[in-house]
Amino acid sequence: MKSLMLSKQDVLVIVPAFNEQESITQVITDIASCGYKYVVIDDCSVDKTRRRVIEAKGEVLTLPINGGVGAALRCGFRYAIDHGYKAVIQCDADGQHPVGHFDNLIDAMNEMNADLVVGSRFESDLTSMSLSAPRRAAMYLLARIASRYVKQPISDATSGFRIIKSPLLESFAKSFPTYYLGDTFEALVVAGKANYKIVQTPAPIVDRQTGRPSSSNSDSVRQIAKVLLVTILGLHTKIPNATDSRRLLFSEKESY
Amino acid sequence: MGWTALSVLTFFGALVVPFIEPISEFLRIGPFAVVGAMCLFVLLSICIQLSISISGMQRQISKLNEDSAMLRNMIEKFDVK
Repeated sequence: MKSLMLSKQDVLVIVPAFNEQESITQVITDIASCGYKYVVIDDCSVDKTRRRVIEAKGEVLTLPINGGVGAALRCGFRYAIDHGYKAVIQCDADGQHPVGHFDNLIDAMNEMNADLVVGSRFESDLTSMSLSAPRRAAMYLLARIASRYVKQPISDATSGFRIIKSPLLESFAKSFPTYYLGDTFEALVVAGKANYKIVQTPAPIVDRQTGRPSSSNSDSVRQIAKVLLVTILGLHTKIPNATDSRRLLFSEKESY
Repeated sequence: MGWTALSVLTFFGALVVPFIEPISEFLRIGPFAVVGAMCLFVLLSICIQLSISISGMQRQISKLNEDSAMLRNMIEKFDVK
């Protein structure tokens, strides 16, 4: 089956943002200067995040209820499909993700004919993130489990810096785990179990410059236990198999 | 329905004790313990049913949340034109 070769114009950058007024202008300016289209999903911020985006003449969707990163991403997926994009890049609004590496994600996706490419902070020498030992251990555990489901080595299962293309994008727009770690780890498990091709590429991720992380340490422990339980018991989100979804996508295109 | 069943069972639990005695003797526990266990079972069932309902409501709210954001975006674009 013929694969979809992506170019910059086919890709929409989704920037979920919650109270990121300090950094959002710089992030979207950088994205636009790289020639990418973007949409900021304002997750019911109480600061001037939305105003900053409008002042920069950017595209912004404002969720009336705070639903977390996963809910914002799913909204972005739906927006991308509605506007005819073939793939999306997820990019944090706090300046952690390297905007200059978007091209690498697209290249990796095209070269390896992947459905999802994860930007791994642990594969890049340029990463400058300080991680505590317990957090690093938890990330290692999640990465090992995700690798089993994905059937590929994944060193950074919790990285939010990734690119997703059709038909996985359509599946995620309908069913996407929106809770903390669901949008990263569980999404990999779900896609892997549905036989989508997932690969990783090095991505230098840096410490956040401003704002606060979306989850505290105690909350992280609780959420890790939850996501592991969901995965082990097989209670995770279900999406259609990759082969069926590709067949449906190509039959829809041919019918035009 | 679940709450009604639980209330009836709790209020009239004592009346059904004679019918429960064979079960309590078989299980070698007191009849009131059997009534209590039945109440707990009904209560647990109600909680599970409520949990499922809440999950469904959360999904609907989440979708409405997204729809609302996209509609607002469309209306704002329409206003600009």
